[in-house]
Amino acid sequence: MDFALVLQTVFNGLANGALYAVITAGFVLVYRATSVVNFAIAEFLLIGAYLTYTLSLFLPMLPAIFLALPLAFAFGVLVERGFVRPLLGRNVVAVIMATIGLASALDGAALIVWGPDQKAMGAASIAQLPKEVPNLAFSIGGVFLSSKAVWSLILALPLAILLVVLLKYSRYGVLLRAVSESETAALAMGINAPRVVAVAWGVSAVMATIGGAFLAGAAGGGGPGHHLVLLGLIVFPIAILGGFDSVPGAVVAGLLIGLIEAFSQLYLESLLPGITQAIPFVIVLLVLLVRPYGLFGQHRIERV
Amino acid sequence: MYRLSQSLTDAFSRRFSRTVREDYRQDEAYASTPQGRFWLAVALVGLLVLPLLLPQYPMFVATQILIAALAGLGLHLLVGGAGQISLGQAAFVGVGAYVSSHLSGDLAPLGILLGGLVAAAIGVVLGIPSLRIKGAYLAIATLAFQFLADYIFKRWTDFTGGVAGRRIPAEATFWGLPLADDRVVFYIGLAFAIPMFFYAKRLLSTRAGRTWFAVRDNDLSAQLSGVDLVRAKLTAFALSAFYGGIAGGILMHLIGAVTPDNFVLAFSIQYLAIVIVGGAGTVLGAVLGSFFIVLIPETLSVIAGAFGPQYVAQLSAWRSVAFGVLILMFLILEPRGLVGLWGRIRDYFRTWPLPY
Repeated sequence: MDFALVLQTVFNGLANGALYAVITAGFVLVYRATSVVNFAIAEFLLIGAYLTYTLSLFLPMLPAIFLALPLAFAFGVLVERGFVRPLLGRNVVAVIMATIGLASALDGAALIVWGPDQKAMGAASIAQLPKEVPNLAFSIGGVFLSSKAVWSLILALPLAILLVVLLKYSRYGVLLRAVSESETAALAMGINAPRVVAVAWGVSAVMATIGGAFLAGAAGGGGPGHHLVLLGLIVFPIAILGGFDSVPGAVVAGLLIGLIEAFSQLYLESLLPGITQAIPFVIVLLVLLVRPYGLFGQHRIERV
Repeated sequence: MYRLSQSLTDAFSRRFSRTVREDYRQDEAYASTPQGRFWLAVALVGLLVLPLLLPQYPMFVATQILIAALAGLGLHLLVGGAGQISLGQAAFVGVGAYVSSHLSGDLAPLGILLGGLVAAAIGVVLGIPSLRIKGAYLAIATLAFQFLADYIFKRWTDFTGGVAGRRIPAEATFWGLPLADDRVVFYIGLAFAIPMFFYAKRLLSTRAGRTWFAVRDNDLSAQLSGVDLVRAKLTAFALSAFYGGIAGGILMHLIGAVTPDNFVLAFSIQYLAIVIVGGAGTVLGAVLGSFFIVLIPETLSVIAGAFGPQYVAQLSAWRSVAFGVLILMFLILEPRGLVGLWGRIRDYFRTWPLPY
């Protein structure tokens, strides 16, 4: 076994995992605040990546990403106000189906607006070179880290950890935890619960956009395309593994799944082609059967 | 004068009263009124003579509706009946299709039945997680199943033919009748669908169906009232998968081939759309919903064809948008679906001009 190769795989796995962690943390945040499972999270990611792409046609890469974030926030709030709020108080199945319907609609809308072909960031035609954030790729002692991996590790990972810290210590984090504990009690204490919930959706969309932009190659490695939807569905295995209502759990599970993917790509893919995409879903079934509350989830899961 | 006023009152009360059911036999009847029975008979005869009237392509669409209605009905039993959500119906349709592709020709109905049974067995296995989890967790578990099934369909080349899929020979016959003829497939499908529809209708008004409704409304109180939860949930999953598997077998014969891209997540969502648009928990809902859902893409393709070829390329995207918007609209505006909408319209005319 080649030590440098293993180390490189670890870093690449962690880098991808950090992006997954960011997206899943936002997804879990929404679940904490509203008990709504957002099945449209993969489309949030897709829309976020395409927004960044559209802005990057006119701007350099970094400003494009930063400008996409407020737009994503507005999009998240819009979704909450338009489609989730009207279903407040209806049973779980209805809300799940509403987000599935939203996913289907957004999916088709993205195809119509941006077309089915894979884009390159900042390039209106194939002839142009794709734009990227400053290249940070480096190599030490046979371990090569791509620019994408470095950016994920220095941007996404701290961001995911920041969210955990904010949720624990910041004013809005405390408000959000209060609302997730009991919305009625929070309202009685004078907390503006609807606004907290809307902010949670907005933050979730922002996180999905950051993850989506980098997964889609803001730092090199492909471009936004429709494959992002399939990539985004990995959020569910990660959330289940992490415990579904735990933001730190989502971060840890994201990194873990990233590592598992990287190693499966390295060792298993040659034996069983395509297994890397299937492994997360095997993990889902195993976790749900053996330990439905995941790694860090509260044990009071809806069970019979 | 008195007689006139009495007959007027009678006529009024007949016109404005809802149908009152006085015993269980009336409750379990397939159609409770003479008009209902008349229309049921008309519908059945209409189905039987339909292939003689319709040309080739509409016949293909009609068979698609039949298949969608069967698979949708299975999901109805699970979602509307037992209240368990599933994002894996397309996978069961796939299982049925692949199994029946190995047993075609003269034995086609047997192959379809076998496909249904294998799907039902897998449905029981998928039902096992539902004993521990529900709601969103179950949705994700079935989503995982959908992806694993897709992986197996693509990779188990000995059985499924891999990405290229399997096809039945074009000259295959069913006791002398060509299976490439959509009318033959329609009749085979009808032979399965009619009994299965009546069975589902009856089932929902018997002990098993009421057990499911109890589980759907509140599983804890159902258990307290003596409902065997394990049995109720597993039978719901098995039956739903069985309906899906049968639909898959008919679909395989309609297309004459089977490829993995007929059983992806988008189709599971399509079956969910049938349930929601139709109205969860009624047999009529599955029929109305599948009409709606199958005819939307057909209408869209006609419209797109009229506008120009560049729109035809985007057809599948427009279809996703239409499905998504429909699901959202029905959930927010008319949770009881087309059945509820129809009931409201009927009540409006029945009680007109005195709605109160």
